[in-house]
Amino acid sequence: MLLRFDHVNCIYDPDASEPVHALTDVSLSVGGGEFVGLIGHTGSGKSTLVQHMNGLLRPTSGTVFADDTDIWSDRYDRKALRARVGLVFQYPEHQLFETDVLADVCFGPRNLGRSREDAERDAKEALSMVGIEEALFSQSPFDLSGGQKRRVAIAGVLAMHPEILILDEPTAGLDPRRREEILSLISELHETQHISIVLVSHSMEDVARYADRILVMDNGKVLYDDPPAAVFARHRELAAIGLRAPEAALLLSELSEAGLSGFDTYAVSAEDTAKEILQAMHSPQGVAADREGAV
Amino acid sequence: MSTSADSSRAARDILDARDLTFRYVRRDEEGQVVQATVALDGVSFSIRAGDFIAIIGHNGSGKSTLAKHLNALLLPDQGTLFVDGLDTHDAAKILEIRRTAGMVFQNPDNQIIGQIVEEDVAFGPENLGVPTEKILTRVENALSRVDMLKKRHASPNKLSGGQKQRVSIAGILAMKPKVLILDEPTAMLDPSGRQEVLSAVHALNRDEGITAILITHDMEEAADADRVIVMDRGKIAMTGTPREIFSRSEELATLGLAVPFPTQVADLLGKQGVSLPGTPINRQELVAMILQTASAFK
Amino acid sequence: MAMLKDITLGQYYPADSVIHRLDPRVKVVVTLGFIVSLFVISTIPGYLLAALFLWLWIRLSRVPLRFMLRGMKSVFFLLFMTVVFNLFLTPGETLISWGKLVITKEGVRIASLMAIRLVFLILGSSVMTFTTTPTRLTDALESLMRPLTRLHVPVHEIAMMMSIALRFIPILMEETDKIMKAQMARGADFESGNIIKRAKNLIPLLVPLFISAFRRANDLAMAMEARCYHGSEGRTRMKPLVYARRDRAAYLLLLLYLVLSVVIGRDLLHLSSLFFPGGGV
Repeated sequence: MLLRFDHVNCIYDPDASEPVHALTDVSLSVGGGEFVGLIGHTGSGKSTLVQHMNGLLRPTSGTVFADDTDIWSDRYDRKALRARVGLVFQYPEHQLFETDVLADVCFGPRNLGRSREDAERDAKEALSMVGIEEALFSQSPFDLSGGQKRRVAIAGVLAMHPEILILDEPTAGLDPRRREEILSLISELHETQHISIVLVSHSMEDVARYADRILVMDNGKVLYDDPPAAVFARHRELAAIGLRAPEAALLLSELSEAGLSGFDTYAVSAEDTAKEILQAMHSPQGVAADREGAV
Repeated sequence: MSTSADSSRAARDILDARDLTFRYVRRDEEGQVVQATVALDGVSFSIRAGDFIAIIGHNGSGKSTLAKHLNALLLPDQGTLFVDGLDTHDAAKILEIRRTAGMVFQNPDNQIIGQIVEEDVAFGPENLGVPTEKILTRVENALSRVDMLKKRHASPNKLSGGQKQRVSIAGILAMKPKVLILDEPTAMLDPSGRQEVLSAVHALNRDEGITAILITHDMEEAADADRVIVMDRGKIAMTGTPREIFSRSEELATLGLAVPFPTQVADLLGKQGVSLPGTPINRQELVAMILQTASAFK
Repeated sequence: MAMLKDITLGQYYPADSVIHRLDPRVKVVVTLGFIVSLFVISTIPGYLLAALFLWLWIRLSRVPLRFMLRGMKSVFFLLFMTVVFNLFLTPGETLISWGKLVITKEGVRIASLMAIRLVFLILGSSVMTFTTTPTRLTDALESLMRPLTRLHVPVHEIAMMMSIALRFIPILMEETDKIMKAQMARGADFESGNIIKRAKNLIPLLVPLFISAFRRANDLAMAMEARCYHGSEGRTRMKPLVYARRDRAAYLLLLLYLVLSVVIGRDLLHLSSLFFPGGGV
């Protein structure tokens, strides 16, 4: 499915003396199997934007279309929309409430009116997707470790069979090992389940490795909507709005400013970065450039 | 860390831990032990006044438990811990210990007590019974050291995460501490908030000689410390300068920890036959080393 | 959201007036004194006196009247019910009647007096909340209730609890909003169904909210301990409450008003005969 924003504005407190423009003239589309990264510092409007994607917030003006239907038109079933556009909030484990893991994951499918058997089947399927073993199904979600809780919470949304999965800061507060686990889980969902992903983060590193496209938000506006390479190239502009380009992009750009050139593509992982550097060091052009740079 | 000989700073141990052991015990209704988890298992170290120490380790490695021992929020089951010469077991000295080693926590919202910034900063001195006429000076001084004086009359709810954490630091500074313990203070912040907090802590350490103990998941943050302590399963797995620690990337990997990105790149270059003149721990060092090696290539 | 965050300061209206500068304890005592006077007074001249006092109290505070009246909106229903009950249910001399509904002379009198009392009471106490930050108010209550510590009432602890509650209300409200939205994203419905179903639907909201409140309480307790909190013993204050000359003047004015309200309000001088030749109200 495809979500399309057409000149969407969102103003909190329009009557107040200082109305808050949370979104200003946002036009974009997400979905269609893509992996989109949504980046911005705290308060840039990214959380507001994603809450418009599943109809939790209503635009002050402008239209949100789901497959060409206005989601705020009369009789539009927004509950069904919320199943198709799954939204995993920040710290989703804080929303767990049931007595056991399986029941908690069933909450979504049951709300959609699925029978107990169907809901349980969906829940079990979702739990296995996120790598929670059956032995934990009957445990209290509150007895799980931090990383497990988060995966159960993600399963709670997956069990509704979303076509688009939006995750708001899914790695916040986790240690590096668990961050890695969550990120590769998301990437796997994208690849094997063909779910469109919108990954919201203030960390470029997190989204850089997987996203086909990056949306950068600042002050309620979409500043850039480009492939990763094009976004990283603007690392100075990113720094100015409180964001940090991935370490690899910063490294390569510093090297080329210092005179070592010959990089032909952008890199994100340490492996690719090392490869780029090796290539530049070995190319005659790179060394020549270096000599000039050293003068 | 007193074994290090290369330092020119005054060698006085402000923190001295000997064989700390601590278990979290869960009991059932009858008081029977259901589960006991060893969080600290024979931890010994000493830290010189004025050092900047990073403690790293994955979740559950015992680093937060260790931090809570450093200002006597937890007392060791076995072993002793001296904070500026005071034994944390000595109940009479507990306020003196907490004043000396102040603690900043992870969640910016859950540690601000006052409804106005300056009221919150005054909370510590008020508890210590500092005379009224001196509290305001302390509060103003503490807020200006973290560059938050402009916001003294603001409500904490209107501040950004980085600003809230700086107010929390000011709340500790107003107690005139010698040690600042920071338990993952940047984990809930965005990159600019993170930068604000870290530069404030580094400035306090550098300019005023306040000992900083930073617990973190972020290897780039650890790379800027004087010394790194690596925790694993309640034990100290490694200690050393960041360079010493990060040059042992394979050992770190077995503990589930990665080295900073520039160090990773340097390692990979090394495997490809490009040996750099040392172990870079930040981007500046790596860039310099690569350029040096590249010009030697021609 | 921005609105929720403003609740911290209650309905505090920042301005620089005599009333703003008064010691919060004075404001609490004046408010209480005024409320008591409203129940002592039972004559028209008495109410005129109270109206005069209230007018002075509001004017000096420099809080625009429309702000005060906005606050009245929320209690309008209470006011309306009080008037209706008293109007129809007071026995006495019949004025008007439609079948079983009877309005009596006494009913009209009591209903209008109740309405005046309520309006005066709300306006009078809102001057206090408009001119005093919750923190100063808590400080005042702690100080005024201090004698109760001798009766083993944990006055300091109660005051500390109040001020922490005030600090966390906006945070928990924001959290409520977030959890609600998160559960709605999982198809939860908080708006439809009968009352039992609705109550049941609140479980997915309330359980996480309570857990979060406990987690925050736990964190906060630890943070307070780390900052050397150990109860009220040996505690000093950055801004202790100190009476100034204007505070003493305010107490004197209050005393004068209370004496007058007894003398006039209880009709000790028989002034009422000027208004109601038949006697007191």
